[in-house]
Amino acid sequence: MTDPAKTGAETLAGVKIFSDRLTVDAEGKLHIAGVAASELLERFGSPLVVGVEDTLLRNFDRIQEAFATAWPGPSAILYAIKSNNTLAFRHLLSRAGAGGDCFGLGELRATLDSGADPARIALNGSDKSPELILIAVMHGVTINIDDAEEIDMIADAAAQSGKRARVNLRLKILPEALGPYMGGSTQRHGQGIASAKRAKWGLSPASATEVATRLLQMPSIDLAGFSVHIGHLSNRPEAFAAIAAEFGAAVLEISTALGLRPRILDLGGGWAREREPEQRGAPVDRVTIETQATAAADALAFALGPLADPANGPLPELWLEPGRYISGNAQVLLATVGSVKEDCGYRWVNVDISTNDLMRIETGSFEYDILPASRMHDTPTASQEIVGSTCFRSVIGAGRNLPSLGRGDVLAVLDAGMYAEVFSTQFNSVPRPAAVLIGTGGEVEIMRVRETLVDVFASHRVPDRLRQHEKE
Amino acid sequence: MHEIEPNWLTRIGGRPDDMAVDEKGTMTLGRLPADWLVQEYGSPLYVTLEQVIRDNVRRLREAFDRHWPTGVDLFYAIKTNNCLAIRSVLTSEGVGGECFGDVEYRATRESGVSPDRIILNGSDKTEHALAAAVAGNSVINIDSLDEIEMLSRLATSEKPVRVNIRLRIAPSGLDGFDASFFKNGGTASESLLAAKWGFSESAAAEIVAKLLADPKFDLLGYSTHVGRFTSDPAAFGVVGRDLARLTRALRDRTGFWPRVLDLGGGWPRLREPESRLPDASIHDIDEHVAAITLALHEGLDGALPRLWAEPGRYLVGNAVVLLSNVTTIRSEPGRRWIHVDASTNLLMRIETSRSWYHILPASRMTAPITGNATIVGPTCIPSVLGADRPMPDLRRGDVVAIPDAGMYAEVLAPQFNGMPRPAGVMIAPDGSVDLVRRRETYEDIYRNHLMPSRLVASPLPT
Repeated sequence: MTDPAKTGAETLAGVKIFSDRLTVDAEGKLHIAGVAASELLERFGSPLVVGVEDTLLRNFDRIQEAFATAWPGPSAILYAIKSNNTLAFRHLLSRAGAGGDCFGLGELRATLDSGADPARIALNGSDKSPELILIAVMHGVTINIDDAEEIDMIADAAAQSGKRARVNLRLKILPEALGPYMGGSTQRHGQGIASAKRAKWGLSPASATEVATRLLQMPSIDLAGFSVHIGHLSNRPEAFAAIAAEFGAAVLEISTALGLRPRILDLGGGWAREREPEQRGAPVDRVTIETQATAAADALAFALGPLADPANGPLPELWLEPGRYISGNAQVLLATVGSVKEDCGYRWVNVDISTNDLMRIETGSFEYDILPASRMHDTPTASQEIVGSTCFRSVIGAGRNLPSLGRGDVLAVLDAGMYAEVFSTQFNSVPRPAAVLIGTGGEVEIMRVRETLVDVFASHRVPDRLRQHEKE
Repeated sequence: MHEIEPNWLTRIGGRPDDMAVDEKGTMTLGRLPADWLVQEYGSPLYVTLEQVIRDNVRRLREAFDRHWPTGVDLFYAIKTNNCLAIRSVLTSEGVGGECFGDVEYRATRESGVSPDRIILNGSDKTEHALAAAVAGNSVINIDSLDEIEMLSRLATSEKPVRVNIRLRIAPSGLDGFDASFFKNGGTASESLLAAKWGFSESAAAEIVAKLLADPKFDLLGYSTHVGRFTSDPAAFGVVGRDLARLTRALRDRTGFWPRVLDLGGGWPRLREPESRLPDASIHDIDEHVAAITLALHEGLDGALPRLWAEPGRYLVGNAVVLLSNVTTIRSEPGRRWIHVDASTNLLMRIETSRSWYHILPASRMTAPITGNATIVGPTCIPSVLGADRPMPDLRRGDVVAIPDAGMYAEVLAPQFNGMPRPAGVMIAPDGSVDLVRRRETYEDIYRNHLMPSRLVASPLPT
């Protein structure tokens, strides 16, 4: 992962992607959007999550443009807030025109409150409650139906709110062509296509046809289209093309059988980034979003046949639900070195973050790029184990070739914008870090307050009868 | 596969742990029906059984009483479960505290533990935590040279700081045991050598000499902690032999003989989710204690030190049951998914370590099993709580119970997908129920988020 001969600055030059706002000054200090990492820690404390507005918005613009170009009809980007639920991010994206992909009340409320256009919000989930569906229908949010049981709940919600409910049907799409691409993030759930079959989501085309037949007879429900989401499994354009082709074929079959013309086709998320901690140390493989978008859009249009022929009417609006692509590199996690121990042929560098802050290391064997932010020009001198201090092993990076680090040095972990804070835990009763946002003008503002002991135990109650012995 | 009236509680093994089935076929916890608890306190719900904790303490103490002349001093590893009410129960049982960092230290103290009955561990202790421990006459298990320097500044010769030195136990004798639980591959000894904790014999010898020469330190002895990776008592014998060997070797190099040996935690339970197996262990705690104490008796040739232990899972693992409502049920030919309102957020060791939990149909314990089902949580990851489990027919509103949710569950729970964390209740031996953790709300998820004013004030797209 880290070339033994490379300085931090050289490593950065090798892994940098278009929207990173990372530079190195003459003294070897890493700057994030123009502000020195060390200065950020002095002002806001360590550890610190640093969000970069320009990176977030540049990622959004690029994926929006990629699909606008690749798909001959209209398209919309629905940000998957599950990847990063920072409210400031969600507001920035709403101002830029992003819709939202939501699960559950917590995500739906945050998305609606941020001012996202409800007509571009999709409610997903394999197990939606009646209360949740009612709120979605009241606000004009589109429900991606995942099970026939939802139909009655939606009809009730429509009757109760007096609004017509807009829905898509989530299809279970299992192209055999995906097989070779499914060894990565899904390997814990079984190899290849067996894993997708076992997953809880979606309706088979046959079930979807039955459900659609019912829906078409219900005036209070507007069946707008179909959705699919396999999730991140590969950055190969062939994988996205395989999903889009199978999805398009299923949509065509159902639509032909029922004589309907979908207005929305939602291709879901998992769009690959150029630098991906989930690659687990594999070299940066720069498959651009344009390549993925073109592969998917072409395959979809081809499979849809008459449904994608402008001669037959307007093309469906293409919806995308990217999370990681937009948020992945929009946060950098800064940490400070504490105790360093050398023994048994190893050198352990303790830092004040832990895998609590990067839980995908524990759950998905993510490998993150780690830069020596206070010594970017120093030659690496030692293989070092970068460890958090919790009572787990908490290995942030094993055997990293870095300049010899000492107490007070600063490290920067890239790509901490996706599935990091949203999965963070308070294990060992450790309060979670603060987050700041660096604006396009270089202004720095707090967007998440550092937790304290009070936050860790905010929900706990000790019954009086157990307090008795303290007084004795 | 099909059987009449499956005996779930026998099938899962281990001890009854205050779980039973009433005449209606409903599972009871401390004699209270699971469905009543969920109706009363909401779902999902962590239910703590106080009597089970007290029984665990007694059983562990009795095992050491049988095998070591001075018994054992227990220090609860609060990292396992930081529920303050549980900590208070343990305080009333006279159990000291094993802590990491400032916050665990404060929580332990506030539960009424005398500070001189607290141990501070950690590979990178902050000066703040060390200062609190010195002021409280707590014991510090030294794990880095930095802390010696800091302690030397914080302590005085009049009131020396009590310390153990954390030894690195990585004997090749452990390599015969399955070490797949350790994530970094290789053998147990390779894995233990690569971990951040502890000092090798030569490093420890230097530190012993240094601390003996410094009147600000009161060196009690040694600490070690291998952590759970096997339930085989023979592995505890290997650890005991290596600890005795190191103790003798360090005596030969420095003349120091310990008054205390802190054996750490990882004491195996009968039902162990981390074993990744449905079958309970055949080895009870007495065998593990017997194996390690026998090795120490045989290997130590000086005055027998006091033994300390830092149990976590043993004291609380089986004391919490997670209850969850059944929601959507979906069938396809050959497959059945039962959704419940608990997700792997609440049992994160499934995601991090492939822990295997029993899932019981709490509201239909005597219903016939009708086939396999996959029990899933609602979140946007697969959230598989149990794959292909034999289950009766369940419907929306039924309750499932997941035992052994007392360890590394609540303390590792994230709020992924904007999911508030559940409430917890504790059932007292007399059957009274107290709320010990209030249910989080959506406001709790976002309580620390701030919005830069320029974003709030800005006009939204129309």
